[in-house]
Amino acid sequence: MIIEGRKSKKILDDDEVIRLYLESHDAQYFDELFQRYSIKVYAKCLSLLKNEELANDAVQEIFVKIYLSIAKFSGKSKFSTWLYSITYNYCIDYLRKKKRSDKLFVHTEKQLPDLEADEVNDKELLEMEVGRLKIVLDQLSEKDKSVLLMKYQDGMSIKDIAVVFSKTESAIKMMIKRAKVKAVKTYKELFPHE
Amino acid sequence: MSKDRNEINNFKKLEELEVNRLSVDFKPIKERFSSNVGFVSFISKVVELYLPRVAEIFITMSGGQLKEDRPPNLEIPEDDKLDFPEGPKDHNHIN
Repeated sequence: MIIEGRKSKKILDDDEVIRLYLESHDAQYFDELFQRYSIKVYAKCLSLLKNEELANDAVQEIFVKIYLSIAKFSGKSKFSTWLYSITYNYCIDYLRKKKRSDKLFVHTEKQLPDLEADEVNDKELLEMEVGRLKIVLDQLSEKDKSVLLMKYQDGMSIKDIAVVFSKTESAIKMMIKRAKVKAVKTYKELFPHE
Repeated sequence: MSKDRNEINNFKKLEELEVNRLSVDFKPIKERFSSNVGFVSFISKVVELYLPRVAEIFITMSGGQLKEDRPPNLEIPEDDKLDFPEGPKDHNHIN
């Protein structure tokens, strides 16, 4: 959304669009948010739910949630962070309800009894080639994948991630640590000669 | 100094790649969203309009009496109710 002045064009940031929407309740401002973020929300849902129809439904329902609660958006975090929290929450809830992730969520913790000794440097993770990173992420559980995406793709804080998973911040730090170890281990298994 | 969260790392590049690769028609999604939102707005308006009336029905059913709402500017002060000012006298009765 661009506001044209006499001399310059100003692209409205998300907070400004939300403020105008809340003041006017003009649908064009909400449409603008939809335009900006629907594809990213869709991509995240597709990556976690692995089904186009489910991802379509998810986008629609997530934006209804946003519409209903946008007046409560305090602006303390970025709009995108808030939107992605709702997106991950939706997907994780969906997976839990399907009882697929319940197994994964409990199972993974048991599978990895002691990873505290293995510290993985962020560098190892962040230097993976993009195509390979995708392959590695697809091998991980939804929980591990989403926690890594939240931290490294969306730049969410530990506190925000903790809210999504309804866990403590220290539990989230442990989850990230374990997910990193698993990602690097998977990488080394898939690409042993690198 | 903390790392800039907006710096482009391989995770963000992956997101860009995936987004660019997608070709999704959002029109049907948008239409479903709009119809859902329209329905929700309608329901919330109905609730807003009729919820106070439901409370009144319960009060009436339980034998209570509803207080007649009259805007403050139309309230008649108790003292004045029987003490109307005298109007002009009927001309026929004047001598």
